[in-house]
Formats: sequence, structure tokens, C-alpha cells
Amino acid sequence: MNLSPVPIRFDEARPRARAIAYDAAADGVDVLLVRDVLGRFTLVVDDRASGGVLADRVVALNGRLAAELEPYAAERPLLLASELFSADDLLGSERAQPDPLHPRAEGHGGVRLLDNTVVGEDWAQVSTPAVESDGSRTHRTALYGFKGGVGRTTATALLARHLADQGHVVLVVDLDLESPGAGPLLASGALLPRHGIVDQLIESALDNADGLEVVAPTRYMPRAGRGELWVAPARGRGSQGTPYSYVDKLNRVYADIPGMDFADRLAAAVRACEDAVAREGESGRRPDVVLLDSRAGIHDIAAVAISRLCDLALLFGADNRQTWGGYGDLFAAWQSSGQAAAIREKLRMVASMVPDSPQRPMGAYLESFREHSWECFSVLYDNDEPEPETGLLVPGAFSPSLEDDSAPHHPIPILFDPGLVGLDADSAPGWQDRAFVQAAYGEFLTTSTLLITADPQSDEGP
Amino acid sequence: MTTALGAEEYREVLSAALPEATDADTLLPNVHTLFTPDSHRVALYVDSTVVRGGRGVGKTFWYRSLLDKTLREVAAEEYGIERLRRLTVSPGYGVAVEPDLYPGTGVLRQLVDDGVRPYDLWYAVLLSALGQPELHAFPEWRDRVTWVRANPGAAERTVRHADQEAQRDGTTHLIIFDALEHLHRLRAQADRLVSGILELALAMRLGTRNIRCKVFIRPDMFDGALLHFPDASKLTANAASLTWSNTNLYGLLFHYMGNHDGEHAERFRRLTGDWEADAFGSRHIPPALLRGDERSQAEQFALIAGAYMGANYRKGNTYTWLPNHLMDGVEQVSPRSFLSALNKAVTETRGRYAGHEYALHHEGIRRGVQTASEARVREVGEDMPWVRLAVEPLAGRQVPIEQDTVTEMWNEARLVDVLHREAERYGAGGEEDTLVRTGPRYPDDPARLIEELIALGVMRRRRDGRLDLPDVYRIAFNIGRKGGVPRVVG
Repeated sequence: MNLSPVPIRFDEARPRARAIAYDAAADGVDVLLVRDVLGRFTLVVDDRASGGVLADRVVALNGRLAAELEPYAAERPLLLASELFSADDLLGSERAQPDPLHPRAEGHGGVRLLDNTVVGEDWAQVSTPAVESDGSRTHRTALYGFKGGVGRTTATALLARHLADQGHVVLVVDLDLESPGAGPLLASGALLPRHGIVDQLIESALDNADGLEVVAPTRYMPRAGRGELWVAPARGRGSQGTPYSYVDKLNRVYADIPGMDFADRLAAAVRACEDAVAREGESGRRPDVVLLDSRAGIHDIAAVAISRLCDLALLFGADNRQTWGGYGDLFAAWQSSGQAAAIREKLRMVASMVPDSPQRPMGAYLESFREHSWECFSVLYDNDEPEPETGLLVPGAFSPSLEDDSAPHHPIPILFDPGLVGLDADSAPGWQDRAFVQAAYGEFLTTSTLLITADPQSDEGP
Repeated sequence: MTTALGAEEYREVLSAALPEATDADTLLPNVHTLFTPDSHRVALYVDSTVVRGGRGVGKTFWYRSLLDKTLREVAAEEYGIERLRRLTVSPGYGVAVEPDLYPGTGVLRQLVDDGVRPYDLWYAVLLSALGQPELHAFPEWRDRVTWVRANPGAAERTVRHADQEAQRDGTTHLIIFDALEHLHRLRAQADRLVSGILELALAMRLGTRNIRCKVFIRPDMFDGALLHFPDASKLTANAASLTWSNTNLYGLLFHYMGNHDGEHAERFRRLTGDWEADAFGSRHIPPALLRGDERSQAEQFALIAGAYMGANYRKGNTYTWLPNHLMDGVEQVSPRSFLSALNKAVTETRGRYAGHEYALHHEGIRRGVQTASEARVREVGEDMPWVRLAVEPLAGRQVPIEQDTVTEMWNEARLVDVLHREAERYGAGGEEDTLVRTGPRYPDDPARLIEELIALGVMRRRRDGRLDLPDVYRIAFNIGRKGGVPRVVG
């Protein structure tokens, strides 16, 4: 037992705890490693099938956990399932994930991890919305930028119009609750609905959402066909005479309510908006494309939108260190919680604000972008490794090359144009038809549309 | 109204039209299959002296086509290059054994050992082609070179005479060179011989009006040639390249499909727009959209292979996926790899997915790409055994990889010794004369070896300095790629 002179920190604790868990599993018993909200670890050994663990083994594991994890060992670092009151609840938790770094070895027990956190857990729960009960599919796409200010909302507005032009019934949901913007940009002068997503969240918690007016058709007229464009703003326009207390509502939307956590509440709110389109529209059609304008940063709304509400997430970024640092953290969290395989084929990178001048040509910029992007995404890709015994590669790895233009890391470019900076949509009618806008967004619109309207590759529902 | 071709009918057209043997040495150009991508026009200018191109992009194809009067006429017609009709073409070097026209590899080695100046040697070749009467009295090249050195005045007069005569007749003498990797197994000697050809080619371009050389050459050999003669930069500045864009590759495919005999090919032509018969009545020329328009080509290819590499767009676009996965480190796809991948895709689809709605199944295409990669590695191994020797020690590793790690692995594998032994093995043998291949330029210097591999497209360097291998080589060499998700096998 050697105590390190340097105190152990948060990041060091997990690999150590995993190593101990892995050793414990070598005895042939299943183990579950639980991390509490402060980051402390408890190792739960499922000794029920094997008829108990030797006493000196228990003492040894206990001692190792305490010594190697120091403050990051829970008060009772080792628990035996046979001695727990409700072992089934804990060991059977759906939130427990197999350790992605330690696949079960021959004769060993399994190692699973359970991370108890205050927020952010939704990043670790990836699922894809299932098809509707009538067999149709609502294509839900999240538009997300780790850093704000990359033109995400403008791109969302253009994309929505483009999709409506193709004949789709499109609903844009503004999930950027902390800084709403998509509503007014899209409405093109139409009256916004009286209520917004925040109202839906607040009222539905009290079972009081009937009769809310959360969606409105925009005044955008698709060029041809039967397309429609609807918007569900974050903030409603309110009613005359009654003050609209946006901040007071916002403060209350993140709470869990009995039977529903925040993710469930948000999912239900989006669904309510979709239903409202069918109910209120002349055509009676449900939206077949829903665009979720998600807020920036590592935030619960983004977590729910990307991990759970959508079947495609367009990740916006510029080629700089903040972008890659942020996505790097995010992807690492998916990877370590075992969600890489579930999330990676949902994602696609968008290079926004791409320069293209003789001094800074687009090609070189995108090449650099692509490499940084690949570097980030590679933690979500399979480790394609020749088998040690044969020296041969095992076919079938999901390991796209840097150059693979259909891979998640391959950027869809949007050119930077100073003409769009600070655009006031209301005072510039028809702005999306300007030649420079079409040139800047052309590839983005075409490629995104193909991606959005393609079915996801897996459709296990939540 | 012509009925659309069914999946099996497309398969028949493809398997009949795609060349079986995909080695250029056995695949002779003929009037039916001569395809003229727009991007190769410049390479055929009589004044384009240097034509660069990697393995399998059509150097030998054009070399042989230029030697054939009919094919030359076809090219002249198609490209609208009138000068091609008024040529006297002679081979200056090639893979064929032609001891009267140019020295073979055994003779070359002997001449180099004797210290002959490459320029004199190629001058003798040129003069023989121009019909210098004295030279034809000497069957041995050694004697011809000696004559050239001893009679500079007579040599010059011959050149001048031939030039004037050609001018009077309105023709041009074109001496063409190919297969330069067969010149000499020692890289330094090969480089010197190449330099001699290039110096002579430049001298003719600057000093005559109607005598021209055309040198088909691998880019790494051109870059390595010692251009230490006056005005050499003129060669570099005017060098043409044989490259294949995606539209060129698909244009070639459709050209093959439409130029096959048989009822299905005829229906294919009727279904795909206005094909024209060429001036010689022997070829069908695809309509412009099918030759060079990405969108029309993609639509047509989607009828053959489906639009996507799986269920839908998210799995990738078949039209771009195929060339994208055959691309080497310098972003080139050889048409030979492209056609052979498709050939394999047909066989594979017939064997395993015969009931598929399209002629090609995407799994068949994946398999085809894999087979084409293996073929590519084999070809490179034949051309340059050293490439195989250098990459093999990296098997079992993963890319991207640090340069230092590569150097370390090479040290462990004692690559320098291996390369030297290889060179000696070839140096010693006399019976393998037709198999002369070029070795690396700097076998003792790992950093420069890596640069050579990069120039060849076998490796590529990332912006952070690490080394990567394009999939077309990586997979066949069993080199992995780093990722964050361990694979659960079984």
C-alpha cells in the first residue's frame, strides 16, 4: 500500500476505480461501480449467485479502494449484494452501462458503471425516436453549436424554408430557452403564438396545458407544392394586459416532477407542439420534419435534444480551439459512458463561417477543419486493430478515414458572408433569396436535406 | 421507346464490357476502347514534352496509342489536335524488346558500367530513329554511342537535315519514351538516364522546330531526375499530367459499356441519350452529359448500383464513395483500379446477391474496392518491391502514427540492411533483366524514405506531422486505425 505524495484528484479516481473493479470481476462475479454526486466510488459485488465472497478478499478490496481512491472512496467503498436491502433496484438500474473500455473477458464477471449526477446525465442516455404509430417517420434534427455565435439560427431558418420548398411540413422548435431567437427570425412578420415552449413546460407540470397556443404558421410561402412552415417559439407573445414573466418561468422548467424527469418533460413538450400543428393546421398534417434549434454549451437541453429527441444532430463549429475543446469533452463523455456506437451515426459536423478568399482559401480551411474534426470524432469511432494472434484486421469496423465524405466528421461547409452579420430579418424581406446567401448555403441546404430526410440506421425507441 | 435494362442485363453489359485482364501490359489499346478524357488533351500536345502519371493512369496506353496510326487519327479527331495527324512516331524507350531502336536493360546496364554519358546514349537512339545511315552499320549500341561521340558534326547535320525535311513535308518527328522504371535497378543510375532523356528532349525543343520528344514518366521519377542543365525549368513548367477526375472515371465506364457489341449495349446507348458514331465508324461516343456531367453520371450510375451505399444517403453516396475509397495519398484513382473494382462488384453481386434490385449490391462494391486495393498493393510491390518492404514492418500497428515510431520500427526490422540486400540481389542476377525495378532513392535515410512514400501516394502526412495511410493501402497491409471504442470480438 503506497500512499502517493500527491493528492488524488477527480480525473485520476475513475481509472483507478475501474482497475479495481476489473480485478474484482476476475473472480467471476459481476460488479457495479457506482459514482455518487460528489464523485466518490462504491463497488457493488454481486455475490448472490456465487454464494458469497471470501472474507479476506472483501477486506483486501475494501482496503485497496480506500487506499487508492483516498477521498474518492465512499464511506463504505465495498458493498456485497447479498447484504443489501434492495440490491435488485441498484443492480438492475437501466442507467448502469457496461464498461466500454473493458469488455468482459473469458471466465470474468461483467463490469458496469453507474454515474449519479445532478445534471448532465442525459448525455449518457442515447436513444433514437421510433417511428410513429401509423408507421410514418417524423424526421427530427437538432442543430447545435458548442459555442454560440456561429450562425446556427440563421442556418436553421434557411434550412426550414428550403425544406418547406421541397413540400415538407416543417416545424422549427426554439429550444434556445436562455436566448430565444428562431421564433421572430422565422415568423417573417406573422404573429407569434400566444404561448411558447416555456409555457408548455410550466403548464403541463400542473396538468394544465390544454388549450395552450404554442405553434403558429409563419408567413413564408413555399415556392411550390404543399409545404408548410411552422414555428414553436421559446417565448410566446403573451396576452395583452398580463405581464409575461419569462424569467420566472424559465427558472422553473428544469425541475423534475413526479414520474417525469426534465428529459421526459422536454420530449413531451416537443410532441405537444407537433400535435398542435396537425390540430391547428388547415391540412391536418403532422410535421414530417422537425428542426430543434438547440442552445449552445454543455447544457441539459442540448443533452436531451441531441441524445434523445433527434435522429440527426448537425453540430456547428468554426475551426478553433474552443470548438474542438468543447466537442472533445462532449465526445469523451459519450465514449466513457458507453454511448459511442449509439450516438456516432446520428452526428454530422457543419463548418460554419468558412472563409473563402485568395488569402484564406476554403480548401485549406476545410482541410484543417476536417483533421481537427476527425481527431475529435475518433474517440467515438471503433478502434480498428489487427488481431494480435493473426495480425489481420477484423472487417466491419466503423472507422471512417479522414477523407471519407460520408463520415460524421466530414464537414458540410457554409461560407462566411459579411452581408449576413447582424441581419435583421424583418427589415430585409426575401433575404434568403439573395444570390450571395444561396451561394454561401447551397451545399449545406442540399446535403442537410438529404441527411434529414433519410431514415436513421437504427430505430430502437426510448 | 426502349425498355429500361434490368439488373441482370446491366450485369451482362458490365461483365462483358469491363476488361478482364486489368494489367496494362496485356491490355492493348484498340479503337473500341480508346476513351479520350478532356483532361488528357494537353498531354497529347506534340509540344508537351513531359507527361507525368502514376501507376495505372494510362502512360503506356497513350504511348502505344501514339505509335498506332489509326489510334493517333482517332485522338486527333476527338481532341481536335491536327498536329497529331502529321507525325512520324518512333519509340525511344519502352517495355518491348526492340534492340534496333533502343538498348534493352542488359545493354543499358553494361553501357552505364562502361561510363557512357546518358545524353550520348539517347542521342544515338534519336539519330537511329532519324535514320542516320552510319549508325545502322553498327548492331551494338556501344559502337553507336562511340560513333556519336566521335562525330558530333555529322550528328548535328543529321538532326538539322531531318528537321528541315520534316518542315518541308509539314510533319514532325516524335520520339516517345515510356516504362522508365525499367531503365536501371539502381535508383541513382535510373535518375541519370532519365536526366539524359530530358536534356535531349529539351535540346530538341529549343533547337529544332519539327523534332520532338515525349516522355511518359512517374511523378517521383521526374521529381528525382537531376535537372542540372540550362533551361531545365522549362520542362517543369510545361509538364502535363495524366489525372482522372471522378467524371473522367465514370465517363470511361460508360464508354466501355456503350462500346461493347451486343444487344444490351445497344439498348444502353439508346437509353442514355445521343451517342454519336465517330468519324471512323468504329466507336460510339457517349453524349457530353454522360462523359463529363457529374449529376447525369450519378443518376445513370444510381440505376446500375443504387444511389446509396446502404439503406439511404446517410450510408454514403455510391457515385462518390467508390472513387473516394480507391484514392491514394495524392488523391489519385487509377482507372485500372476503378474498372477492376467494378468488375469484382459484378461477380460478387451475382454470387451473393443475385436477386438484388440493382445490378451492383453495395456489399459487392465494398468487396470490389477491397480486391482492387489488394491488386494495387501487388502492383506497387512489383514496380517497387522496396515499398512493400518498407510498409510491411508497420503491419499490426495503427495510424495515424508518429514518424519516430515508424523510424523505430524500421530500425527494429533492420530495413536499411533489407533494402541493401534487395538491391544486391537484383544487382547480382542476370536472368531477371526484364524485371528491373527502381529502388528507393535514399535507402539509408528514413526521413527521406518517408518523403518518397508520401510522393508516391502510399503515405500522407497530417497537418500535425503524423503519418497516415490511405485505406487503399492501409487495409491490404493490415494496418489498423486508432479509435476510442474497443471492439468486442465474437
